[in-house]
Amino acid sequence: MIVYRVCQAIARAGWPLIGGMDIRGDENVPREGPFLLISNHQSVLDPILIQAFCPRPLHTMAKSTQFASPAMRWLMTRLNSFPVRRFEIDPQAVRTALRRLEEGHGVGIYIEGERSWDGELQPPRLGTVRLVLRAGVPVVPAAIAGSYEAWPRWASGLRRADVAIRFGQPLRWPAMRRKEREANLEHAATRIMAVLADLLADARQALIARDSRREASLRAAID
Amino acid sequence: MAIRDLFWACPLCGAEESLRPADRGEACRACGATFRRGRGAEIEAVPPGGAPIVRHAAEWVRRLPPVRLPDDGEGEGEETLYRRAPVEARFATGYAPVRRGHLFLGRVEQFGTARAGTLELTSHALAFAPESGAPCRWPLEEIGAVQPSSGVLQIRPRREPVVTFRFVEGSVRLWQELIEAALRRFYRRTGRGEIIEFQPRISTR
Repeated sequence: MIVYRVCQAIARAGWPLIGGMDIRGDENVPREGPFLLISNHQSVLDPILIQAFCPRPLHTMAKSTQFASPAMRWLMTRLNSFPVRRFEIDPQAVRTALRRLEEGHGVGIYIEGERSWDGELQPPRLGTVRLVLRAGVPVVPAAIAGSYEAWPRWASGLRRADVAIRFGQPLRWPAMRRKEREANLEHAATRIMAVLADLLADARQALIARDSRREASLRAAID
Repeated sequence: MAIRDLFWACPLCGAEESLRPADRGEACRACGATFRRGRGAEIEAVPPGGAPIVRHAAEWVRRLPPVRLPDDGEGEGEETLYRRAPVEARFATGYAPVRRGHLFLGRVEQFGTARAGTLELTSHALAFAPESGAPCRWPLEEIGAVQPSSGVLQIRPRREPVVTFRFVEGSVRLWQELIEAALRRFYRRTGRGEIIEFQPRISTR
């Protein structure tokens, strides 16, 4: 936990050198007990910023290639990350997520499964929705905006940009068995993505209000 | 990564895979327009002899031409070449465990050295011909998943370890779209159904 706390403190102290931060809804993150934090994904900065500014420590599912070297395996595991192989069904990733929840932790997952190329929301990975319906814990939707402007996937470096994070009110589904999960899959996916879209729009509006110079291009992205 | 990973075609003239590195950005080989990152996620395009055009990346993407596969040959069973590109391939050689203390968290793939060669997508298969060594060919029905990861494309053949391809000149995004389009067409043609997901495994309805 020391490495996690140190990195969190560095990110919190260092981000103001790069841009502003506008956070709302952090009271929606449960103060105790397990929860799933389901977020959009626009930039390599997202895991750093969400873990830095989420009021509870998060255990995050991260792509397996980030654990390629022994040094990265050491660091990533100290940052409470565990690997998921995205190119095949990875039952161990699901087991690890469920175990963390059983221990009362918060688990963070990017429902789109990868960074967006253009900053827009992508379709959800249904495996994440199955996990939501299996776990039966509060689901905190979280949207991050502005990180795409700071470091989009197609760019090689970081630029100054303001970031807004919105934590939504928890969504709740009971723990379901397989047949029930499959019957509710589409509805749950639609519900989560609709809430994320609303939170993302709210976060983008806040950034537009903060920076009128960026209004035209951000509005074009929203439209 | 670069703007050419986002723009598989020039958004001004439509020429595919035409962007190459240039002074302070990238340039289209076909029309000569230059592209560079502007403020935030804006991209500034300068057509030859024209005024700069600045748009958000999402707006530029909406102006890209759709990815299209060539038409299939008319003969039954005839194999049509869709696309070819120079790549660097890495084959998974095994898995390494990830632990924190005594706690087992999962396994991650380990890769061998990069092998340069040519990747070919046809109406029937994906094939890799290395500069030296034996070629590999995966019939489309044997491809289990297609997953982009940073600057590479991960292909998971059904009974083999994962392979990653880095496109030396082309766009990983274009190749993801091409392979997915080829798989959709193949699944429809062979009555396997409509693909709804390409990861973590191809599934149909």
